[in-house]
Amino acid sequence: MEFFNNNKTIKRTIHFDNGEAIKADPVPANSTTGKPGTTAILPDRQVEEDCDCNNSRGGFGSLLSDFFSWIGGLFSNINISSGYGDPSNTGYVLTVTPPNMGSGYNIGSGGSSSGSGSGGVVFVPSEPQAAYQRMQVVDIVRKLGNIDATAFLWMMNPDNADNVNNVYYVLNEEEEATPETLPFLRQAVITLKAGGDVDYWFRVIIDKSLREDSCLYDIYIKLGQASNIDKYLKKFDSKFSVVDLKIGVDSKYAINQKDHILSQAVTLIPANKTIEIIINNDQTLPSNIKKFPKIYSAMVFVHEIMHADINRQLAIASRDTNISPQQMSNADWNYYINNVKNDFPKIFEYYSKYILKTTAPTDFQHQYIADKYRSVIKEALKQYDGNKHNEDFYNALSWSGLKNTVAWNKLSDAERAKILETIQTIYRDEAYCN
Amino acid sequence: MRHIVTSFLLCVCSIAFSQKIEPITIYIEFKLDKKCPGDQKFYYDREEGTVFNLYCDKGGSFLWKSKSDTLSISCLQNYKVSSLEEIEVLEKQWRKKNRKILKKKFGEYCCPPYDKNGIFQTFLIEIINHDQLVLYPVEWRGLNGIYEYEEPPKR
Repeated sequence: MEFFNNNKTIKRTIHFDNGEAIKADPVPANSTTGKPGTTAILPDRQVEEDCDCNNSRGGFGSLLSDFFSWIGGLFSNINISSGYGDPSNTGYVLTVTPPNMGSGYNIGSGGSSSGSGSGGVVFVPSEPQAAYQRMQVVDIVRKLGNIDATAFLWMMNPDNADNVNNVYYVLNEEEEATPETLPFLRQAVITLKAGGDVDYWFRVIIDKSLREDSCLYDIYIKLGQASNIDKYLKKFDSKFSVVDLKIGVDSKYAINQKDHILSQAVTLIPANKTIEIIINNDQTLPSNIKKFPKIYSAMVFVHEIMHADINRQLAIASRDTNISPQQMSNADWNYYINNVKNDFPKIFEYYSKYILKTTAPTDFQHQYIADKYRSVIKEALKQYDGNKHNEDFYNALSWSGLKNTVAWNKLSDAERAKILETIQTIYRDEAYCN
Repeated sequence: MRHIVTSFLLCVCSIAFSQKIEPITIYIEFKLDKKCPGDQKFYYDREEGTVFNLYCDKGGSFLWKSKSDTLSISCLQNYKVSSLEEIEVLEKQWRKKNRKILKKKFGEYCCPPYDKNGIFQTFLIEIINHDQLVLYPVEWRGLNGIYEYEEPPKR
């Protein structure tokens, strides 16, 4: 079995031995054509000599025709379809669709419904399909562990073959899945089963609640195309990233975040190796994000991603991503604080000033964002809306959520008044979701 | 023999003089407000536990995950129920009392703030009928996040 990237070049080859998936090294690019060599190996067979397709035999198209020829001989009584929508095809098709991972422009586009598989390769009849999916599920369960019965049944459902294939692909794309990959994929299975989406490219879990909110989801997608944000999201993408990012929307914010009903969003500290952003979309609350213009919602996404980035750095410094000092032993605390000091000195400076060396500790992250990240927020918003407005517009937005900071208080009265006035203009003139 | 005695004494001394950061055990009464339009007690998937919102119109939110005990109503007298105002006072007292120990624990980098989950071991008491009450070990919610506040537009 081969996995292709968006350029149709082989990314990974897997063959099977007694039901066990065995990875093979990718075939190196042909030195004369620059195209990859190709080796087709069937899922339920060991390495096959008769699948020795190389470039001289016509590349990818030849590979497919050879493959159909082979399987046609083997299963002469089965119709083989090389696409979906063929009315004569009453059997099952196995859609081997690599996750849509080729660019930063496809947030959330992985995990399409079965059959369509944009840009994928469609082949193999019913029996191998079921067997192959079963093998994938067994492999996923063995490696991930802690998969409950309902998730297992969901993965065994032929309708979810594409999603299972994506999870299987990510699980096996490296020689050894890193420890960070496993909790990400566990969360991915839970999210997909619940109807959510998974951005394998950025390793962002998009909760069903965000996926189904077309206005907010569109804002998030558009924002992901801003190279400034792309850069930050990619930090969660690395296979070595210690935490994953999950973004969701809460329509019952009033009861779920009872103590913070005036807030528009929250970024939680890492739990189960995941940092979660929850957006307030409770229609009963005046603070709900849709009471603000869309550009403000985009700003909230960026602002929260900055918090997530700070938490990610703190998680790197900690043992086992626990960044709550009261849950640390003395040794863990020393390990953590020294790592923060040595590896993230700017964060340490703020942590020290606003938390450690004061009798009245305050939230250091907003102080840090006000000083260090406002330019990032402004740039991201400019990229988001095509730089349609003047500098004052983006500057005013970048101060949102930062009005209790030292940096804000350092502004002159006139500067603050101008920003507040610009905000009111934005509220009046900009488009809203509703 | 002398070594054994010395070791024993050292152990005893270290146990006797070691200082631990002990949480205060507190009990809060939870009552459902029948007039409250929103849920006060519900299972919350995201946090994998049951949320108890103490009041309908103000804060005080707790999460219960682990086991609970159902006890006879006669046990109620064994628990001193605290109000949120009393808990604020207890919190201040705890910080004052434990400052030295915290300094010792956190050393050069003293002291990161402890929140209510670090300071208190909290139980909710719910009277479920005339004869029984349930004791839930809970955590204070809303302490693990960074919230964004901005005045909404007046439309």
